[in-house]
Amino acid sequence: MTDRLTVQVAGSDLATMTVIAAGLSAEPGLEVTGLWNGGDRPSADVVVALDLPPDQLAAADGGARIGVVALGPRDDRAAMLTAIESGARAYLDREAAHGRIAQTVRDVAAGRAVIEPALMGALLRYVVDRRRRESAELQRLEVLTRREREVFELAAAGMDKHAIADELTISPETARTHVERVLVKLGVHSKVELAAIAARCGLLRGSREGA
Amino acid sequence: MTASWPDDARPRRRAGVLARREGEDLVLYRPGSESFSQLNASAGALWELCDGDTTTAEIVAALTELTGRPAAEMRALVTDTLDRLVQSDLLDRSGTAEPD
Repeated sequence: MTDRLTVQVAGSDLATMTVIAAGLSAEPGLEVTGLWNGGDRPSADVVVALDLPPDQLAAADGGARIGVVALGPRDDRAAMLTAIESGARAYLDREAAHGRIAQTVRDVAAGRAVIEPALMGALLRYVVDRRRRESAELQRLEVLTRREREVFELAAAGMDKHAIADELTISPETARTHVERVLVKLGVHSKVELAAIAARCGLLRGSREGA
Repeated sequence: MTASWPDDARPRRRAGVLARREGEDLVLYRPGSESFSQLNASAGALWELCDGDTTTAEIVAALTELTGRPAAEMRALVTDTLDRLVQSDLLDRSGTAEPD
């Protein structure tokens, strides 16, 4: 395991990104591997995302092996919430000193979320409400047998009957039957809807850890 | 003190308390009293969550998820903060067990 954290700076303001990257490069333990302004996913331990919209923030989160540090407008609670909802592990004022950004990168790498104090109340409310929704959705799954629950998760992940059959060591026909039963029991008509249920249950989060 | 805040307790903010945000702090005032309370960001966030519906277990779980800190540590923080809010007469004890 290397003791240097790789970092990419993402955004659309190349001048500011370059300055941030230069500052982070001077910080001990950090290695800036480049800038990212769209296209292929970034690839680094931590991505520092400057003013990214939610879809790009989610893409950055998908490319970060550990997590994303979002930089955005100060005191903008909506922007902060959006960033955290999009997967960022920390949110800082876009004008934060590079030393502060570097420390936040280290904190995120150490598994600590960095939350602006002013945002704590709104975030707690958001997390409580989201966990309630997930809990309610999970109750829907209680109608499934243990095998059907396994099939549900595999189908929701996009597997076809052959892949499910391989995974569970059953025949493709049996896999198909299980999928049909799951669809009927949950009152939906497609695997896309299964994926939506899985997402609402929170079952699609944390896939990075398993990658 | 943990026993006084079971998982299913639903702490509720004292009715009539007025709140004003001052920077990161939350300043609380009970009309008719001669003092006010100034809560830091964390305590203020917890007080705002105390709506009589959200359980202590939900608060602890959310805090644990957000901070990445151990659940036992967050539970201790929550129970300590709730105790202090009760002592300051900013929370109702309804939904909790009275301490011996």
